[in-house]
Amino acid sequence: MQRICEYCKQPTLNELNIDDKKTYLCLSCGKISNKFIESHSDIVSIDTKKGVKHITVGALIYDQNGRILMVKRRVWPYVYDFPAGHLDYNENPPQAIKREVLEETGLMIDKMELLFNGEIENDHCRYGASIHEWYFFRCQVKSPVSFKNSELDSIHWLPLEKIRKFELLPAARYVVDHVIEKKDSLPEITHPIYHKHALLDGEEKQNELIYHISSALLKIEHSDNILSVATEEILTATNIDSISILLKTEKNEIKCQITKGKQLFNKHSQEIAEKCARLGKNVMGRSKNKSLLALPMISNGETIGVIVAEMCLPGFFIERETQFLTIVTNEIAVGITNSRLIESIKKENDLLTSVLENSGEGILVIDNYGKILAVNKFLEESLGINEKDLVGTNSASLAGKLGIGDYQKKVMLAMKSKMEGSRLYDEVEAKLPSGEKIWFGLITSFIRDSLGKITGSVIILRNITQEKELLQAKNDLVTTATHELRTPLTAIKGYLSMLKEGDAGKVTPHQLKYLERAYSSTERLVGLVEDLLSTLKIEENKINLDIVDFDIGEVIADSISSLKSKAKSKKLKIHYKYSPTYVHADKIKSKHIIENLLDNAIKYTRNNGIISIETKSQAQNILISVQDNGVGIPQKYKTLVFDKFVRVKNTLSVNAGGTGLGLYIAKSLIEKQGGKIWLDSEHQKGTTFYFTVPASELCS
Amino acid sequence: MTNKKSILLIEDDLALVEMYRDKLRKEGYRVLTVTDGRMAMQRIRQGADLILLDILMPNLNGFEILKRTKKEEELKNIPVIVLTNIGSDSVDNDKKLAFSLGAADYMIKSLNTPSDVVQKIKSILG
Repeated sequence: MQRICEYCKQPTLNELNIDDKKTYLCLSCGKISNKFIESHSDIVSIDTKKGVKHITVGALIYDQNGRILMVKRRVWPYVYDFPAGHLDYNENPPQAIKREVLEETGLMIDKMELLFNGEIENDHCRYGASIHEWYFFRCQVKSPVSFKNSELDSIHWLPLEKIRKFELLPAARYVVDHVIEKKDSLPEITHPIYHKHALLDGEEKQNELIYHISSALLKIEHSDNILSVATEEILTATNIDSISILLKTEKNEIKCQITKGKQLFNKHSQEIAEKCARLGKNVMGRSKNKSLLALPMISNGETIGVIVAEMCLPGFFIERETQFLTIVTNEIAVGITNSRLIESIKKENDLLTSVLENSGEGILVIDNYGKILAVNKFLEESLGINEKDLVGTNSASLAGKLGIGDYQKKVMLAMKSKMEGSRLYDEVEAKLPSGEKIWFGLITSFIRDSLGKITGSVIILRNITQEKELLQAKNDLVTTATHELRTPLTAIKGYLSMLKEGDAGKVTPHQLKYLERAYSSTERLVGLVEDLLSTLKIEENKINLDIVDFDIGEVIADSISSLKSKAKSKKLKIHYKYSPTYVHADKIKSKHIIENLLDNAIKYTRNNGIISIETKSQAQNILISVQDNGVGIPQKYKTLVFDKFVRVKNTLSVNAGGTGLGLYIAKSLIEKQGGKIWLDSEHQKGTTFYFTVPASELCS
Repeated sequence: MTNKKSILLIEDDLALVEMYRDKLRKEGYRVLTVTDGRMAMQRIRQGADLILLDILMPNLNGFEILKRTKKEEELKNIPVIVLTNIGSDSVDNDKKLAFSLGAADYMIKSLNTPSDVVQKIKSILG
């Protein structure tokens, strides 16, 4: 059961909806009727392949002024002439159409341009194809020839109105009536597809768009973003179907970086792009179902990439549009070049900054007027001065602050004197804002411009204080003496202890006794050397204090445990209740002081005695007391004990050992730290030593 | 074969070198010695489980050696005991300096017997 045309009896009816009336167009004969015949048999079989598309081609033949010369319509079975989608009609009008038009009218078609195409669904066709496409072209003709029809004007230009008089084939009439507006001029043809493909309306809009795209590009910070933003902007601003940006890689290849819009970019696009890059000019390309325009991005005379604009349908890059795209392409090229430059500068900058900042030495850069241009972190920290307070100021003022004005003058002079090559090597002692004195080793090199003129200096500063001190220490009498005295003592003490321990063979009790005596004398000597050294240094005022905030409670506990065994051997008990007590003093020396007092307490207390240590907070100080119930100190010695070599004669003093210097040293250290020491004592009842240490300002 | 720990002794006084070497060997350590400061870094790079470092030696700044050792990736984990006869707890800051440069401990030779040194080594090496 099928519907067939009432005129030609073919089963090729198309249903049209014109003004809501059911109309049928026969694709074979072209006649329109509003009824069909139902046939119960296969009357005709059209020799076409199953699934073929039927294309109706209508030609509206216009002259260059836009007047319609002729309307033609023909059905072209897909297989024989041009399959749908492979119409290369911009340069090669289908031969069949050309021939037919020429035969019938004598007109030679020069160019064809797709005017309109639409789809009509037909689900009645028994041959499987469900879509019928209509293509309407406008054709430009070369040489007008007279029409056969005598009613036509002899120079055969026909305005649209006159065409209506002809018996147009129904399909053509359909087109004329419903598609073409009732005006003559071509640009007024307002079918959606055509309108869509007009990229730009007028020059004003064009300039607006260019401005808009440039502004958008200026706002971009990262060069990665430029490609994305540029493609988006072009797509939004125009009706281009696909935009791709290709960039030249280091290997000189043109590689696609980004494609936006429809995915039209393919091998063909790549070839066109490469050609464009080679020639450095715009290149147009057409393939079966798209047209494309490749524009080179040129910067500094070199092609850095290509922009490819593509359209789904051929023939859409007219001159105005090409110009517009060329301008936009140039904007993008500039944008990319700029952002690349900025990035490479930034990278170099980052590298330099990283080198400066991570240097383990201070770096100072000045210009030839002495103005400080740059400092690195290490220098900031070494001097204890902020970068903000250094950069921009004159180095003379910094030098003045540090007390190294002479050195600064030397550098300034050197820069003026145009010294050849060479560097300056110096050592200077500087006084920091904190009051600390340090030694700097300085290496100064000069910065020159391309003409060799000195434009500034780079000064590298190294803190060589420790090395200096060590060197000085080497020359120091006390240090040398100490070292020279201690060394042989070390050997004597060492070998004696090893003998005692049996390292050279079993020791008889007799031998052990002698060894013990020798060893203890050595210990006395060692102790004496230590005390002498300390005393000498105190006399020479060479005590180095390292003041920090620390918990003296901990130090007391440590001292107690160091002397535990000594106390134990006399069965002495040491009482101390630990609580964190923060002081502002020299930790190691405080330990020395406490151990000294504790050692004395142990020495001068009989067996089974008690020693107690207490700490008390007193305004800005911490008061520490070491109390024993030993032999006590007579009244007249209360202050004398702190003098050099004073040892009170008492019942225990014969066995007590010691040099008589301990308290002298302790007192010197305590006073140097800003404290006081004194004692309370009762003969044979016991002694309490008191001393103060500055309290820490930190909360405990 | 027992895994003997090796101790590198950097010390210029020969009497002391022999003394410490005897003691350490008795305690089961392998002992390597350097008496010239200029050879110190080279020897250290040959590897050791622990270093005993003197400070005041001719041609050698012991603190400098300590600094350099602690800077090098492959050497910085070797424990270093500063074993010296300069400095004093009562008047100097050498102990603090040694620790701040990364020393594991600081001992004054004349105040410690060789056994004391061995005890310290044992407490560090385990």
